[in-house]
Amino acid sequence: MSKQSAASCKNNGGFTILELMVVSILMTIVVLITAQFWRWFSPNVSFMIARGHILREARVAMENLAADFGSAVGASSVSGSGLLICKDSGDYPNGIADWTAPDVMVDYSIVNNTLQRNDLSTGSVFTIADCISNITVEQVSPTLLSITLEFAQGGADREIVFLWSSL
Amino acid sequence: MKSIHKKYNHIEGTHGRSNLKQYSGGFNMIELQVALVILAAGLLSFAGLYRIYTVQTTYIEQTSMPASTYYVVSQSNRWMRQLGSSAEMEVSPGQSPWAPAVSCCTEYKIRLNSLTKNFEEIQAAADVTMEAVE
Repeated sequence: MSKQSAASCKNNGGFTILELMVVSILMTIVVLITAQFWRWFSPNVSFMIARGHILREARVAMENLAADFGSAVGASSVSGSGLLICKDSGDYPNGIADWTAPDVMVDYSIVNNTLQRNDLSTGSVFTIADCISNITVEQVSPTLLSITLEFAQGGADREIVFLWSSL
Repeated sequence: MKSIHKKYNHIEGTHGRSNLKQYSGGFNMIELQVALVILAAGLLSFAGLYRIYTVQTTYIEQTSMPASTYYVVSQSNRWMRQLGSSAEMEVSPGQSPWAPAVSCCTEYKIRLNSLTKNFEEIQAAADVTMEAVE
């Protein structure tokens, strides 16, 4: 067998143990680096996604509350964890919270971590937003009402406080 | 292998055999280092993407919801209340709500016949009947 054919036979025989070991070590290093990176990257991305979701839900809740508070002439706490809004209505809104028709009463409460809006005049119930862990309504002073919405999901949380004055 | 050998011989002439032997010896340190640098650059680009994502999300959060406390100011104007206008959301207290430029001595009773709201364009159209209040 000539030198050339011997070299050819040696080369066609596959990888040597040394080559396999080098490749294995390199692959192990790459996998370990990727795993470490993924361990750091994955929870952060999940946290950011949760924050984005909370932000979206909070925005929707905020806009709905603002829409109802636009014509509100009265608001009160319902056992500390519910909100009752009296909206001025009728042909000639008198600017006074009558708490009866023609004024429209709207109730906000938490059901299964969702914020639900109940129009007591029509009986319609809508789910406004989710990821809400708690709502606290506190009468700070005779004319000032504080509404605290707490959002939580996937390790992220956010608290928004609304202050409404009846004056 | 013969064809490769021939190819190297064709390209590099008489030095082909020694070059082929060197080539068949596996990776050298330079090649390994280049590969690791490319790998590191790829991983760093992922970190850069995450950084961009974080900054943009924070920016969106700050622009769409800059504060944690809001002062909700109801519409003081009767017309605006009846048309169902949203409350003003202020981040600082003491600001008066917007009032339309309507001023007259006569009070009107407003009968709201129909109300259409276009939330996307922040517009509302209303059909009303007005009666002067004695």
